[in-house]
Amino acid sequence: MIGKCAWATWLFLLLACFAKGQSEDSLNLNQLRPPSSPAFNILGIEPESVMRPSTPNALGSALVSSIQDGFLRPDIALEFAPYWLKSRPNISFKDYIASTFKQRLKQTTAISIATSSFNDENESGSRLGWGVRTQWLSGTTSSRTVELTKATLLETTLGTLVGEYKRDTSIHTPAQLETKVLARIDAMLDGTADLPQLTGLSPKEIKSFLREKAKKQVQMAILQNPKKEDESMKNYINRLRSENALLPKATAKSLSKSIKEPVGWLLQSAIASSMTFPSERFQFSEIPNASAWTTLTYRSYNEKSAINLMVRYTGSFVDSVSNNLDIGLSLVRHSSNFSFALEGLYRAYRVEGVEALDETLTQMTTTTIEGETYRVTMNVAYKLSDLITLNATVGKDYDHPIVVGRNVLTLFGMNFNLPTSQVTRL
Amino acid sequence: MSKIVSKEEQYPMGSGTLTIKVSLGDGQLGTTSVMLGNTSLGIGDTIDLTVGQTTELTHQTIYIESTCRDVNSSSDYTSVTVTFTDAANTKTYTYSEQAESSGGAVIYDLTFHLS
Repeated sequence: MIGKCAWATWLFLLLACFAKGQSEDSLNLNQLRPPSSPAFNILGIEPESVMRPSTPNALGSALVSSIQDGFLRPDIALEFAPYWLKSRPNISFKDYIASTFKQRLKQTTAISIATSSFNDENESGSRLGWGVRTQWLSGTTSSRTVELTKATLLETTLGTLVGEYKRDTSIHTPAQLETKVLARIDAMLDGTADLPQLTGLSPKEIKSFLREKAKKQVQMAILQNPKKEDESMKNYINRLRSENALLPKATAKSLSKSIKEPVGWLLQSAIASSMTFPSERFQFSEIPNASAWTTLTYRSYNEKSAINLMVRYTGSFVDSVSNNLDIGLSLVRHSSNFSFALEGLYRAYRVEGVEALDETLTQMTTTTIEGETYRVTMNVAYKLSDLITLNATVGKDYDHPIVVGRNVLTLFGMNFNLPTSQVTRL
Repeated sequence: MSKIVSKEEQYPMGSGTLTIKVSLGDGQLGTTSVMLGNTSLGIGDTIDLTVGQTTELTHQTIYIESTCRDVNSSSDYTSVTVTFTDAANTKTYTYSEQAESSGGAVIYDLTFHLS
């Protein structure tokens, strides 16, 4: 291990000696994905905090707070999904993860709004960005999601099972509670009590959990959470099952994240536009740029490979009018220690109203520039350990339509990852 | 710490066989237990069971405890819908509450007095 680390470190230092600095932005390999918040993307901001109202009242408050003294407040970042602003009692978990086309559009449509200020040599004012994104195809649940769903259901069932004893007047101590719960689990295992009915879980899987994990979890929960002197058994059981002891958050959080990373085919679209208000006056407002993205993604069922095809339009309408049409393709492959990504982007551009010298090179004239260019990048990352990853990116950037400059992309780097809590897979 | 929602209701029974259905909404995941007095009638992620003849259930109490986990990244809402059906009528009770954070839980502690 030491030898491997030393070799990789020397290689990294050697490459770093030859590497010329590039901005992180120019080497971002996620350019083929539609932005998660199109409004932030169109304004080119990465807000530190984003308001995500989940009720109509919270949304109203957020919108009111974005205006101060009749002007837009800068640095507002707001994102919300209109469909989820109210409770949806008829949408089951199954409906949520495997929705119909119409239902999927409702569930995945999100609106983002952002503001910022500008202050350059000539003028100052506010900028407002808005965007909408949605999913046409949402893929299918990954095997990881299936496993985490089972684990979350089993964990939750154990808490619900313990909760059944809070009205049992024959239980006065945690030890008696433990004895009763363990006896119930034994009865489920030997068939004298009914097993929980859990969708997607076989009796064998439920029994395996009860035999190997459930008893230990109950014993640990009772051991680590002693009953307070003045606490009733009902309150003790409520506390036991409402705290992390019997309802650990980690598995449910991992499930929530995993649902957002399905496998198979995904088709996503987003649009965004911005407005500027020079001198904070509406009559001077302009629409400086607009964008639209559509991305078709295929993620393999083993979650190790992905292909992205993206079509993106970006238009800029201030000073000169420029229109870019990008078509991109990326391939990503990763294993436990190694990842590889190749990304190619073709761009057709048209810039109107560019001032340039005429044929005689004596007078300035206004002209239109049209052309095509491309960008190709390759990224390789090698994980030395859970804490350290080496990265190398090389490629060719777009050729600028007017300025002739360097277009070679190189970046070598080392990432340090802080340790995070691990989820136990059941 | 999970939120606990406690509710107590009267269900005026009609005639015939009483059945009960419990489902969780808002795209959230969880389990429900149903008890008739101190007797467990079932635990599961969806509940659809026969409680018994209404004539034998008068003045008894049904306890329903649902634990909803917040796994829907788009919403913190959780909800439980309980439907009682007998030969004479169907009555639906819906409860909703927001979880404090993603991965959190809301526990619904519901008591139905059968009359």
